[in-house]
Amino acid sequence: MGEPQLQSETVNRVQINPLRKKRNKSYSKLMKNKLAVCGGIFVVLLVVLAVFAPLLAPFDPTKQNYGQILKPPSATHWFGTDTLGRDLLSRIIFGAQVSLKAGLISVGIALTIGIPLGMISGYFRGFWDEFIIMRVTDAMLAFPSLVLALTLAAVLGPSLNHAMIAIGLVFTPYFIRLARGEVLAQREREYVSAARASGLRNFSIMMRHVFPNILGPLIVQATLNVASAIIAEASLSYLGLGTQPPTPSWGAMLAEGQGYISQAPWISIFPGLFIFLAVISINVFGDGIHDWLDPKLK
Amino acid sequence: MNDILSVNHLSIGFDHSYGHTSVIDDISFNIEKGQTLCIVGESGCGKSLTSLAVMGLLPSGGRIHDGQIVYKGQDISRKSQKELSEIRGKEISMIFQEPMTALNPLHSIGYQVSEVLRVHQKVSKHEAKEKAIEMLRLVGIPSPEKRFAQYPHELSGGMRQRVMIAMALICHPGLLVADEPTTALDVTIQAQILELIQNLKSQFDMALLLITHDLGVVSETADKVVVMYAGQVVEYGDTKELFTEPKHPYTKGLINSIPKMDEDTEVLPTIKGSVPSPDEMPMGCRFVTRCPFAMEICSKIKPPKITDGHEVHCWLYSSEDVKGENPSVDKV
Repeated sequence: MGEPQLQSETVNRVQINPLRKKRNKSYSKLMKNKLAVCGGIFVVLLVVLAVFAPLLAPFDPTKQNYGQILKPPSATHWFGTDTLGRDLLSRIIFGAQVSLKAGLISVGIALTIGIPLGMISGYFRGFWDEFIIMRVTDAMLAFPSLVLALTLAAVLGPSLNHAMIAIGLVFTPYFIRLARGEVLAQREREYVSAARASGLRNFSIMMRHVFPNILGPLIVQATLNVASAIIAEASLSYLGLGTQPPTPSWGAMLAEGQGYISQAPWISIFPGLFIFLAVISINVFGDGIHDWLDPKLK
Repeated sequence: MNDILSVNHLSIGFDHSYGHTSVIDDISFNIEKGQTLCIVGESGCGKSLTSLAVMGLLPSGGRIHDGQIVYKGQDISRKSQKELSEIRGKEISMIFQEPMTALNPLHSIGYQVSEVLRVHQKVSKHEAKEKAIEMLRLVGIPSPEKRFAQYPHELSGGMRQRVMIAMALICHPGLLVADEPTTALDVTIQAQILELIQNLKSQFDMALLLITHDLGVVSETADKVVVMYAGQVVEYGDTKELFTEPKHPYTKGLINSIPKMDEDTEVLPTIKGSVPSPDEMPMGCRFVTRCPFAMEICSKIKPPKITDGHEVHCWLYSSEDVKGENPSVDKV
């Protein structure tokens, strides 16, 4: 093994590009994806809105003002007022609390139950995989998700917390399926055999080798489901099984506005816009995290 | 006995919904300490499966039906996965054909090399890192301190294979199983990797089980050779003897099909036909459908093991009175 042979084999990229080391800093990796940064900033903004809602809202979100019913956006009421004369901007700021909570916690529940079950199912295969876990998820997926969520929320009783649990459980089979499918693809990869050949136990292989490799699609699915969860919470609230009035939530506001879409479109436009922006920003932010975790895209 | 590994009458098959397919049928060989044994044969003859069986890593559905795999006096073919995980990577290590896919793309190479050490030995993170760097240097990776934090995609194929070797050898195993370690690499790198494996083999005093289909590699590295065809051993013996005096028609065919530098030939000799599928194996000798010397008995009864100089499984060398025409073997 002579030195000249080695050099001909590979060109040392570190030596060629000394700037690379600087660029490798993690913050600049994330900065490279400007869209993700924008998304991240908006997500942070929403969290700030939710946390400091009482300080930021110009009006009491539940205070009714019959002199100001269905007012279009103006200097006093930036986003206009609703059917009871409540300030929409204040309601949207307070609504961020409910909607973010509903989106994040229900997806959190789905992830915590779905990923381990899906991974175990895909990694070990066999009876539990095919006849128990997969059949149960099939059965759950056979129901229209809203009907299932409605049933669960109705059984648990109407409240935001119960609605979040119901939504989380309804989303769980998607994560089980996705995690299982990804694990099935990864377990046949040679690096898994190599890890086993190095003497690693199944648990270590799953946690340290398989899990990071299936994280990408899961993050994307999770960010998409945050959006669906916000909408689902809105649907449940609309049907009276989620957030109880007069607590504002974006979904409930959107639903309220639908009857006035021609006279007072702002009632539904602004909550709709915030749901849309929240969903998009969580999504691009999630995508950015995925790219950031992939060493090939650094 | 000085054997580090002996495989005795090993049979492996796959169970499936419509029955059972035997893939490896009654193979035996042994490797002494510090020796290199090569398994050669064409694609699908079961050489990789044999190596996976030694590691206890048979693909799902695969099962050892019969026989033993004895490593340092213990039968490892009946051990549980938990027991095997203590042997794998520490006592028996393996390097794979595709260095491109055998490393986890999401972990740095340093992490992957030191992880093996930390699984088997109680060492601190810092100590593991130092040993990993030392090992990376030993396998010929320049500036290993810098390389430690790099990811597999930043290295060339040859470098990745070196990393695989570092992972395999960091716990100083007694046996290294190498499944076509150079097939995915280009020719100049192949020679370097083989040389590296050979050097480290003598440095660490370990035995090597090398799976290959390249007879050139065999003649350069092996002490003993097992020639496999369709899941059976057809010939087994010392490399030198086997190359100078091949006996089985299949071995002869293989050796004849190597292009010779000193001869000006237009067409290379080939072995006609193709390997029968595992479900349609002939009852007797599995090579009978392609053998130019096939006799009546060959398609009926499995050929006996004949040990005359080295081991060959062929009716042509049987002293029994076999029915049918027996053409002269020297004509090959």
